[in-house]
Amino acid sequence: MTGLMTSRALALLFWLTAAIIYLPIGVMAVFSFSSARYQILPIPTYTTEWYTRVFTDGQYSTGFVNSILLASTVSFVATLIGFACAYSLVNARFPGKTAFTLLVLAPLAVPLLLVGIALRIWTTMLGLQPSLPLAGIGQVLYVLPLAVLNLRNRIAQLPKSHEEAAWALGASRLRAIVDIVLPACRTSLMATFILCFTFAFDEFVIAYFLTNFSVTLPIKIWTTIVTGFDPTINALGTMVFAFSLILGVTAQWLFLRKDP
Amino acid sequence: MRAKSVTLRGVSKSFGHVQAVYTQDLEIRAGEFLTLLGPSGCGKTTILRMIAGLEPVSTGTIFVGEEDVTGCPPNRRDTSIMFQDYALFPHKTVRDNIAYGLKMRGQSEAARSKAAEDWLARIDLNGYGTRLPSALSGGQRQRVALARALILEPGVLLLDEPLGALDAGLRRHLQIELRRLHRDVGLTFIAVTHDQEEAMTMSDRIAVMRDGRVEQLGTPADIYDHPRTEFVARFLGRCSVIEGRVVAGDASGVVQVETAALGSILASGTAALGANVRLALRPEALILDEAGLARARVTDAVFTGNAIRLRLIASDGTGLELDLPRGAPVPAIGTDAGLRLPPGSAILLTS
Repeated sequence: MTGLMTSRALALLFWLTAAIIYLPIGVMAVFSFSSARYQILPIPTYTTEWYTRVFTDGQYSTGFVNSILLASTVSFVATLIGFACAYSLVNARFPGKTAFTLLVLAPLAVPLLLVGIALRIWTTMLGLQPSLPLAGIGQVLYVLPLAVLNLRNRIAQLPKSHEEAAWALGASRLRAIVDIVLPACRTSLMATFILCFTFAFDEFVIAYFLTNFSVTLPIKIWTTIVTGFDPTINALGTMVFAFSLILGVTAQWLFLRKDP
Repeated sequence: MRAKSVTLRGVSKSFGHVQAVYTQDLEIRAGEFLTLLGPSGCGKTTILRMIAGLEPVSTGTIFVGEEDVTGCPPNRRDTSIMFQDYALFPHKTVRDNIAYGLKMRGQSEAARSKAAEDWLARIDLNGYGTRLPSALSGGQRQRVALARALILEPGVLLLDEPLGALDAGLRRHLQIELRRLHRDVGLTFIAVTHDQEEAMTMSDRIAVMRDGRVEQLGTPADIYDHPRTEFVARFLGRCSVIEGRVVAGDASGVVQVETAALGSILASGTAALGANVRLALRPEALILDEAGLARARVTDAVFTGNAIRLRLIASDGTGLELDLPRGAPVPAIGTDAGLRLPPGSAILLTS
């Protein structure tokens, strides 16, 4: 009996947590279909007008395309560099390796606002103009620790003998990485790419500091909001949330599935 | 001839403070099957990995044939290695696994495919080329790993616990297979194992290792019949060890040892007069004989399949083991039995 009660209590706890996380977004989703300009109850009539507006407003689509391009490039580069870094961390033997590992992963704990400001100051010092590519470089630095962390775990699991066998059969170090290690990490590489993508796609602070405001989707949302609430944000937010959720779930699923 | 010799000169290896292999000379002849035998942690795998180039030496030089390969990476040595876990590439088909070495040599797709099919036939896996390694049994994987290593006809094939991952029945069968394969391909084989039966069945010579040193090197018969140390004697089969003192000896290599357990014993070997020595006795050396001079109490009789193994205690408390042929009368436990030891069947240990 007690066992059953405990399991029921745990289930309740789970749903409560889920509710706390998803309720605000749920509310936003509901109001995105409301004809009223403000969040008032009861909802006068249901409409898809705000969704239509999102698609007809040119700035939203520009922002969306920019965000997709930026996030894909950032994730691709971060996954590539992350793989190289993770491979070295797993295989290299050098003094201070633990300290170096911590150093690579530590930026995750640094407030993003500071990272953004620091990057802005630094790039200004270097005489670089704020631009989308510059924001991309900044975002690579931001998501890189995630990529390293994920891929390091996978590479550390691989039997060393597979690579050694390739060497003994005549493969160079690089060739063995391409032929043996990369294919063994396929799923993890994909999952890492998607994870980085979800982070880069939503990223606001670095993009805000390193571009000229108007371009990515989060920046467009921000600039829309500061000039007064616009119900299209509800519709846009709901769509972005659905998109991110699908990506996040896919990444998690890939991680759970693991490589063969 | 393709086969190459391997020479280790003053080779040692340490990992931090741990000395895995002490300074060592070792000569492996071209075309022989040599096994490094020892318990886990004795340094045998480290030696194998140093020959393959997977582990840099701490000191010394390694030659494959006439060539000094000490600084060579593994892909530029005329050696191939088969791992205990076989290390088949899981995402490549059996054929691509076997042909991988040829691909690295830049051979054409057609030539690779042909050579791989030839090897598939040779290892009785015709038609398995397009499967993934995960669809094979343990024994089949072992054969694929062998084919993959041998397709390059390396001067030296290194085998790390080649049968370690297989069950007992299959192991015995494959020991013979591996021996035959060695004769067929005529290459130098260097294997590592902790299984003395495996080592004796397969090898031309065995190097028994202990704590980072080769303790004894010789043919299986030589090492079994003339172990120099108690460790080697015990590692290559069962034996009883008794203590005694040399009371007579001559230059012919036979000494008379006075023991408390079995009285006066003639053993082959040389030792100084008056020296305290240890003798090893194989269970099949001792013979039950009521007319024998020594006596011991029977404490246990165990059926081992092809013999009855008697455990006895000599008058001075030394434990002895004796193999009684099937069908011979078994003395009752607790009774005293007479023992005889044919001259020369006791082994004089040097340590």
